[in-house]
Amino acid sequence: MARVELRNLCKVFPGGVQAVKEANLVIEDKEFVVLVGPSGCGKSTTLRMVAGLEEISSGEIYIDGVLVNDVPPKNRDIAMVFQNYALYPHMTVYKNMAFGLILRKFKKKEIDERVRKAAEILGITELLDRRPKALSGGQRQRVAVGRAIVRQPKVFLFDEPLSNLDAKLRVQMRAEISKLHQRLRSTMIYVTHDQVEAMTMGDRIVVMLDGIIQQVATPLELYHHPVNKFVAGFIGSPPMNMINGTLYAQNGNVRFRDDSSTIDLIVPEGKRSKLESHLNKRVTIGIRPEDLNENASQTPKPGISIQAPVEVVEPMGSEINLYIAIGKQSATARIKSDREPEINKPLVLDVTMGNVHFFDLESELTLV
Amino acid sequence: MGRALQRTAIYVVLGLWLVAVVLPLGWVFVNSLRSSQEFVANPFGLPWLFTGGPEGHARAEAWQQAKANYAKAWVESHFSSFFVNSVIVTGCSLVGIILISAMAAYVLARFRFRGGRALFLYFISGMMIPAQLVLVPLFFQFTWLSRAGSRLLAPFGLELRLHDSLSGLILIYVALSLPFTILVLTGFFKTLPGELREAGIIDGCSEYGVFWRIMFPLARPGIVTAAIFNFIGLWNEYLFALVFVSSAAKKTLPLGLASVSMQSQYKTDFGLMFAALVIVIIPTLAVYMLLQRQLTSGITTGALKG
Repeated sequence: MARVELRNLCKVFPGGVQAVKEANLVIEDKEFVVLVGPSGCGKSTTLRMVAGLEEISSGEIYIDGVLVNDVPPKNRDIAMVFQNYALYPHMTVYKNMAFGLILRKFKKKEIDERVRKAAEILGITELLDRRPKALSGGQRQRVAVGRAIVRQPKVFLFDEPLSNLDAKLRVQMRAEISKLHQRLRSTMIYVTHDQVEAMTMGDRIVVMLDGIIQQVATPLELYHHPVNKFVAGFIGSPPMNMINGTLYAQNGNVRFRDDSSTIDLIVPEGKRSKLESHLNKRVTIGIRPEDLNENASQTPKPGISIQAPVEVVEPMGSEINLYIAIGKQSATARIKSDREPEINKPLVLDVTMGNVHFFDLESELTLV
Repeated sequence: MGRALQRTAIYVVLGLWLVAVVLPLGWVFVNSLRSSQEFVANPFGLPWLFTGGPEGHARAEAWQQAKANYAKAWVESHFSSFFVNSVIVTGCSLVGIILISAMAAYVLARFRFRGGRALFLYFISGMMIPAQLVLVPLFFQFTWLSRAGSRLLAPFGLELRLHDSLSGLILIYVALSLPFTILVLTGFFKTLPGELREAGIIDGCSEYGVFWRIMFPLARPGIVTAAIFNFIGLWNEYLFALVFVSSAAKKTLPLGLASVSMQSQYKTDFGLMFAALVIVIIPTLAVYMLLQRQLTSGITTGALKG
């Protein structure tokens, strides 16, 4: 059992920079929670406060119901994997993994069993006698993970553990850490700036910006129901297209026209009621690239289609990323197509209106 | 072509340098095998031990002479006792210097605290004061300290002797060597990755544990460098030993050498003098050869990402 709870957690660095503001979060036992956000959003600081490496300015952290604010890291029963691995260069892989157990005065036999088992799980048994400098980046990362799992801690903390690996290895290790979580069934808190990592690994995701938790939700919840413009833009790749314009009523319909009058869309009925208060006001709409589809007959449907010139074509294989010009703004579309659209020619795209998000221009909060 | 020329030039310079270093050393060693008579006859020639002397001077006789030089230095001139004193003084000083400097340097390099910078500058400022300048004040300070200390220790039947004692000398050596050593080691500790401390703390180390189990072993190249420099300086230290040590039983090797050369004002025994020199030189060479392999840095490679 290891439930982690943050209550009104704040961190102010000397010099007045407020890295974390009033963070409230409950991480359930055996849950895999990912803290994600751009650099400087306070996600690493939050993790380091849970680890005990960073002093808490105000607020409380509970692990397993116990207030740990003043408990030193070694007594919090946590293990951490660092971005830079932080392996001890003067020790062999075996000793690196055993170090924490030796310090805790485990019996030799028990240490040996645990280290060998962890090495087996991670496929590094044949590396046990080597020093870190004789290992590749991926192997070092495995050793760093191994060092954490031999301890069998209540909570695992990962601080951007994959960001120093190349793309292919990152995808592989991502899956391995997920598998590890299923196998060990322990609480894991994982920090990353990579939303793909967050989406693929987390049971729940905590999106942070400027030290404030923006939203805590499951990956699909975040994708479909972001609470504000930032979360909407941060989750999803390529990012959501944000277009500013005005809502207006016409013939009993609520419509959206962008500032350049390139597009004019009819708001679907289900979303109408929540937007009525913003009639004749400026709003931002968010359209995911995958919600822009090529119109098969290239005949615009009024209120649903956009017609815009194609600027760049990026064939990805299974799909094609297009950069189109909407007024002075550039937008991205991700279409399924066998043939590449021609550059600088207008293309008709249909918008899946049911998936479009509306944001208040000022507060940037989601309207619907 | 240009590169080959450059290489040749480098090797010529290095060769000259080698000759300049090795020749005097060799000359000292060769002369330690000769009698004064032989030395005066041909100061720069090869020893009779190798060539056989004039008029069928027997090689065995030359061998006896060589052995006699060393025996005389070691026994009659008390170099055995000077040697032991030097080993004690240099050894204890080195241990003290390295322990204190390493701990101080680690904290100064890795932790930010109020007055940390000032403390560092205070340590370093010690290097700006010429050692000769503190000689006389230190002498009187020791007199005072000895008196005060002895008064305190009197009830236990003990007395504090800082003059004419090896421990007094060790104290001075440690104090005088700290600024330089702390400077060198602070720079070195700064290069060690800070994440290792955090990893150690999460693994269960105390701050002391982090230092002794992780940082100190990793600082080995820096510590060896500092140790070699200090060893050479202290092994050959003359001035402070001369002022603070008076009795023959407490003399260190440099003082012994000086007394041999002083005697030679009245009766020159070149063989003895050179043999004594060799006795002083050999440990320095040995220490350097033993430790220079450790000087190779790069021990931290592998701690962080390539």
